[in-house]
Amino acid sequence: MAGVLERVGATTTGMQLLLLAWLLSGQLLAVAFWLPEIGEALSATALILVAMTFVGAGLAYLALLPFEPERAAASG
Amino acid sequence: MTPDPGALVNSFREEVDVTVTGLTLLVLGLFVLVRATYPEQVSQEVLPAVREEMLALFGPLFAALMVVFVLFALVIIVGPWGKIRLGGEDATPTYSYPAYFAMFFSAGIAAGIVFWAAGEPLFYYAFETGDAGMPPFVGEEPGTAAAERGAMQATFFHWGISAWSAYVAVAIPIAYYAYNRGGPLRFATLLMPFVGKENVTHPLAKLVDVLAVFATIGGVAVSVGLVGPQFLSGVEYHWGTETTDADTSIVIVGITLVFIISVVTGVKRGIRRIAGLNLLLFIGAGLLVLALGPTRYIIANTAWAFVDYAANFAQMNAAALTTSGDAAWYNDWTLFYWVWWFSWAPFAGLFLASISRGRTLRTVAATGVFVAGLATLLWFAVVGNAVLYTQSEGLVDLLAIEAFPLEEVAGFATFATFPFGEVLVFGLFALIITWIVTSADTSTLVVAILGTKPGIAPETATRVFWGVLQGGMGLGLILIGGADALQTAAVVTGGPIGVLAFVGIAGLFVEFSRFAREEVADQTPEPDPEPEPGTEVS
Repeated sequence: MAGVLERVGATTTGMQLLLLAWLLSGQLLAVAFWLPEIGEALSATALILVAMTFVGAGLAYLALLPFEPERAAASG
Repeated sequence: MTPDPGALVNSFREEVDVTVTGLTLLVLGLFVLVRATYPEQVSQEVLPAVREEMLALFGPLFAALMVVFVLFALVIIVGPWGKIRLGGEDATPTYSYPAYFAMFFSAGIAAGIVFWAAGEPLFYYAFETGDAGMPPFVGEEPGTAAAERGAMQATFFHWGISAWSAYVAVAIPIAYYAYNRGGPLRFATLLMPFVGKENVTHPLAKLVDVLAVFATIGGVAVSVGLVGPQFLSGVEYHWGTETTDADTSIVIVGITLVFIISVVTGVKRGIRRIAGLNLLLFIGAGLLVLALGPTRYIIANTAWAFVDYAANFAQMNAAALTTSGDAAWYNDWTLFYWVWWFSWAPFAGLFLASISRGRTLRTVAATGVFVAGLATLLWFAVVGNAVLYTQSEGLVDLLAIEAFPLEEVAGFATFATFPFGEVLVFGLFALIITWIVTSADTSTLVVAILGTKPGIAPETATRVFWGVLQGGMGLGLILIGGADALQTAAVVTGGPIGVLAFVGIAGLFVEFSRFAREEVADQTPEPDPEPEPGTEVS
C-alpha cells in the first residue's frame, strides 16, 4: 500500500487526505450521475459540496505534487 | 512546514509596488463605493451609457484595430521578423510545446467557451435580426438551413483568429522588449520604444499597469463570480433541485482556493499541470460529442463553417468597420467582443510573454493565432452544431427552457440527449471548473507581477493577496450585486488597451525597420548580459 501511495505522490499525510477526499467524493458523484434518483434525492448543497470536494481535492493534489526535478533529486 | 504569517506579511511589504497596488485598490474601492451608493444609476445608466457612447464613437476604430492586430500576427508569421528568437539565438524554451500551448490556450479563455459554444449559435439561428438575433449579413429567415450556416459563421468570427490576434499583439512587443532589450515584464513595456527603458517604471507609466490590473481583475473576478451561478444553473437543470446563495458561495470559495493553490505552486507545477488536464478534458469532451452526437451533421457543417468564415472574413471585418444601418447588432455582439478581448489582452498577452522565452516570434504568433484559434473554432463547431442539430431536429426545444439563461443550460440539455449523456454532462461540469481555474490562476500571477516592484518575482504572500482579492471580489459582486457594472467597466477599459497595443506594435515595427536592409537573423539584438530579474516567473 505504501508503495502505491508513493508511486502516485501521496507521500505526506496532507496529500493522502487529499487523495482520500478525491476518491470518496468521486464515488459519491459517480453514483449521483449514474443513478439520477439518488442525485435528485440529495440536497443541492450536498451535491455541490461533493462536486467541489472532488474537483478541488483533485486539482489541489495535482498542483501540490512535487516538480519532477525536485522528485528526482529527492529520490536520487 | 507551516508558513509563518509574519514572514509572509514582511515578504509582501518588501516586494509590493505601492503605486500600482495602491492605485488599483483605490480605483476598485472607489468603484465599489460609488456602485454601493448609486447602484441603479451606475449599473443601468452611467456605465451602459459610457459603453454605448464609446462603441458609437470609436466602434470603427476598434474594428480597425482588430484588423491591424490580425495583419500584425500574419506579418510576423510569414515575414522575416518571425525568425527573431526571444532571449537571443541561443535561448532555449523553458517548457515543452504541448505544455506551452496548453498553458496559453487555457489562460486566454475562461468558462465562457463552455457556455457560449452552445448558446451563441442558437441566438443567431433562432431569433430575428436585431439586437440579439441573426447576423444582418445572413438575410434569411430564422430557423432555416441558411440561418444555421450564418449562425456558425458569425460565431466563428467572434471567437476565431481575431480574438487571439489581440493577445499576440500585446505578447510579442512585451516579450521582445523584456527578453531582447532588457525591459521589465510589465504591460507598460509596450511604451518602451517611445519613453525609454528607464521610464517604463516611472510612476506615470505605471498608470498603464494600473489600467491593465483593473481590466484583468474586472474581467476575471467577474468571470469567477459569474461561474458560480452558471455552474449552479447546470446543477438545477440536471438534477431538478434548487440552489441558494450559500451554494454559490461554496462554488466560488472552492474555485478560489484551487486557483490560489495553483498560482502559489507556480507555473511549473499547478498552472502547467491544471492547464494540461484542462486541455485533455477539452479534447476528450470534444471528441466524445463528435462521436456520440450527430457526427455526419457536425462534420458537414463544420466544413461549411470554416469555408464561410474564410470566404467572408474580409467582408465581416469591413461590415464591422462600417456599421451604419446594422449598428445595433455589431455594437451588441462584434464590437462588444472586440473590446472584451482587448480588456483580456494585458493578462493573456503578458502571460504568453512570460512563458515564451526561447521561442521565435513566428512560433508565438502562430501558436496564438492559428493553433489556439483552430482549437477554439473546432470546439465551437462541434458543440455549436450539436446544439443546432438538437434544436432543428426537435430532439429538445431548447428555446422553450425559460427558467434559465439559454447559454447556461443549452449544452447540458443537448448532451443529455446523446448516448452516454451523463458522461458528457459530467465533462461539461468539469470543464467549467478547469477553464475558470486556468484563467484565474494565470491572471492572478499576472496581476501579482504587475503589483510587485519591477525586477522582483512575486512570492507566495503577494500571489495569495491578489488571489484572495480576485476571488473575494467575485464572491462579493455576486452576493451584493455589481458584477454587471464591473464587467461593463472592464469592457470600457478595453478601448484604451486596444490603442496601447497598437502603440506597442507600431514601436516594434519602427525598431525592426531600422534593420530592414540587413539579414534579420544577424541583426537580432543580443539579450542583455544580465537579463532583468523577474522576467521569468516560476
